[in-house]
Amino acid sequence: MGQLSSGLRLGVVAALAACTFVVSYVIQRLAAGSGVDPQQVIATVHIPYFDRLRVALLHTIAVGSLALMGLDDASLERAARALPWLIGATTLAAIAAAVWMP
Amino acid sequence: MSPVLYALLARSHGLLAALALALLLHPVAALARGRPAGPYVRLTAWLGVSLLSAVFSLGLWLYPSWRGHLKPPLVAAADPLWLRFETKEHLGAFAIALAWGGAVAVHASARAPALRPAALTLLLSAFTCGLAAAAHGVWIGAHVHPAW
Repeated sequence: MGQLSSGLRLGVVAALAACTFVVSYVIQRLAAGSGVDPQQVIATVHIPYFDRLRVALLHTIAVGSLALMGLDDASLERAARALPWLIGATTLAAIAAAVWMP
Repeated sequence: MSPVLYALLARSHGLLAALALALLLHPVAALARGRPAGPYVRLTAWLGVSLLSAVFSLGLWLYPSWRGHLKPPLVAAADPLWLRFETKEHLGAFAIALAWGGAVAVHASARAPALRPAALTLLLSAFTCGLAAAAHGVWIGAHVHPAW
């Protein structure tokens, strides 16, 4: 039972962390908006793409750590059932956002 | 970075990405058929995500050269191709995150079978994002050549 619970916890946390990364990245990109002058973008040495990845990784670690410590066994089972829908919806929304606002 | 080195690494980036996606297809197919996450399924999931990570790292290394040499003429010419490249980068970031989540979930599903649907959805989502990124990459590579 302990092995089952720890396996479930690891998998649920990994899935939530992956979704967090995607959501964080998309929100950052959408928040930056499309009203950026392209000439200004290429004139700077600063690379916003790398910043988005760094911040998304930080959010991933934070949410992953909270989920690792905060979820009880009943929550893990409920989360495991809901995860396929959450992951599917997150991915579809993220792809739509990536195409809509490159 | 010289144009020749850039072209060489960009082509390697694409070829290795195709191989990584092919590796990820094995756990996707196995889980979709309702098979348990046996040792070979777990192995290909880890090999796939490891190779995808190497490909993504290579892409991060190439990105400043793209931005410094190939992107400016496209932006100056108002060619929408540079926007498609940005979409490709977004999709690549989604693919790597989902693939890592999927590999860990596949590994964990050997002990907790309730995770199999989540592991399948993660890997299938990673595969879809990776495939879309690869399609964008092929299209962009056919139109933009390093010649600085």
